[in-house]
Amino acid sequence: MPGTSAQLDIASDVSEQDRNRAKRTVGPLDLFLFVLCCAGFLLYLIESESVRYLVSHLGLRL
Amino acid sequence: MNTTRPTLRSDTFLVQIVWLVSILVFAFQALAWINLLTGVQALTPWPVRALSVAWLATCVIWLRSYLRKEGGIGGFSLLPRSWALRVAAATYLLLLLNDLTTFPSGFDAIHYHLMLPLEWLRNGGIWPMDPDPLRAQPGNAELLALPALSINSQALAGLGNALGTVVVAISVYSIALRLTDYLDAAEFAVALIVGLPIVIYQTFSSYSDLFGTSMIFASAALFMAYCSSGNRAMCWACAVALGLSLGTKPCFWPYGVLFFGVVAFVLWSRKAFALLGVSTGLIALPALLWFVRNAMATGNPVYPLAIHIGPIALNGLDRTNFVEPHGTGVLGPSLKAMTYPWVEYVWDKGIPFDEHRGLGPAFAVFLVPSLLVACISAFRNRRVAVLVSLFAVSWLIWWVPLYRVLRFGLPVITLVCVFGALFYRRLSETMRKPVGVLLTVTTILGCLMCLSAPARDLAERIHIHSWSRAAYYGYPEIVDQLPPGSRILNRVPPASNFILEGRNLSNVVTTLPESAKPSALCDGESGYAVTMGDSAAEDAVLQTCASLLYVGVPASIHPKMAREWHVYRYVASPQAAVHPRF
Repeated sequence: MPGTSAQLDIASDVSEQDRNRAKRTVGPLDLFLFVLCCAGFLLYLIESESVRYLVSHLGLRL
Repeated sequence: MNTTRPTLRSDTFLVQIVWLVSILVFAFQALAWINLLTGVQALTPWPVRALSVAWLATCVIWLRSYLRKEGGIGGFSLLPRSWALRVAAATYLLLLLNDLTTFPSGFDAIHYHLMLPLEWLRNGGIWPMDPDPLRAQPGNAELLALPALSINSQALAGLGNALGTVVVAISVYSIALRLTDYLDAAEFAVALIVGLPIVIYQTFSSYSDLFGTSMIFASAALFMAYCSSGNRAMCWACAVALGLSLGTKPCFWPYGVLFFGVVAFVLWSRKAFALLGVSTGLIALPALLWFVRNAMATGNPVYPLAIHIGPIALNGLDRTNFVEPHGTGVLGPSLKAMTYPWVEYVWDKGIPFDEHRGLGPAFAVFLVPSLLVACISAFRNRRVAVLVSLFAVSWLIWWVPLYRVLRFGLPVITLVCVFGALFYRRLSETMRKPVGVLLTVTTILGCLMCLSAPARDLAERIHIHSWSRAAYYGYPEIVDQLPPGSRILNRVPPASNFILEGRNLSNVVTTLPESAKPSALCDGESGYAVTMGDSAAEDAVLQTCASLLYVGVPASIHPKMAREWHVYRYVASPQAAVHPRF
């Protein structure tokens, strides 16, 4: 059944109609949300000291 | 009663997990009550072992019956659809292996979370009720370490908290599924919460924040189930879960009271007065023990919280004594805190994530979009509106009275992960694929970060050819060789108490108050004393009443942090008389 997974779900409780309610066309809000995600990722990659920590632990040099 | 939807399968599973956890907690609490009311030392290793075995047998019987009802294990797909969840699952598996081959970690776990149950087992009850606020807190989460400590299994001691991870994952799944009716969105939310570095680290440590958070969310999931199905058993389980959280740590009291307000309002508006009464009693039940103990010891049931309301004045401490405004894991000044989690900075020891901190890249990426979609959805969906309001108030609680201590904000963080499901559900189908890829990539990155420190420790253990507890913590091996029952005066940082208990947890570690004079070093009844690092003044005093057994820098998997240790044996101690020279 598409959209079903797992172990704890309630496949029978979730109607197929609900599951497929998603739009197929990309709207402006979709694009805006995706840009926000990418911006967050870029900011994290550039600013977060965690990334530098990981890179140094992997023996790499930036 | 509006019955709009049957109970979810995940709710049925969750309610049974909550009952199983509460049975274990209630069993140990019963032993503590016997001690509290009669003075009989009931909370000792053998009763704890017997109850643990009985509980395990109950779990096995329940699991068999559950699987039979669900058509056997073949009816379950153990592989999640989400690649991010698969990555997280693999990481948890690796860290479980690491946990089983190492020793308890985490500063607070070593400092007091593990010392408390160890001392309870020795004293036969939940004493001493130390005026130290850290040791006067409710301890439902610490009770979960009792089975492992009763059989001296240090590797298993932190695994009680893994129950918290299972519960929070199922709860988030259930709430997200109820809000979105979309399985992939529910998995998205679960991937976000289980991929948080702070959650990954706390899963394998004896911290209590994750357990308290998991019980609040179990309570929320079960209450939503009750609201949808009208099944009263869900409401009872919801109340017990909330009570378990309130009996975990004072920082959950404001969150718990807030959520109880919602529960009470809904039940009142449905005119379910009897159910409200029963639920209130069930909420009190799992937390009552700790309030009674504190009332007996200090006259203040909510010690360490001081209460001054009108004529009521209960002695306690200012909250800065138990919520450190400048302690470990506190997000810095407000402006700097606003940049977290994107600017995930390193604290002391140069580590950006551990049991105190670290939200990871996935959270940083999906925080703003999730909040934005939740706010938009709140205008159309009343349940989302309630959750967004709860988020706003909880965030204020965390930001102001809880001083932005990151781990105390886990309920707020978990709520954002639930909103992640709304975000995923809102996306068009075309957009879900790149977002799924982004989730997988960021989860991989976060998991690699979490694995790097254990991998480094493993490499160091291989490098120095030592798998001993002493090398893992960096203390002298001689501490493990002392006769059972040796009393050791700890003059290294008090966080080392659990470490100095030794390989078999057979030493008894004592400390001195900070105000103690140097001469007190020679006045105690300890057989041994240990000092570390810059301790020349104390060493000078100890040399007048004790002989030096050991001096040197012990092997350690953290060579840069290794310091010189001194181990002394008191000359006049009766323990010293029977102990051979090393």
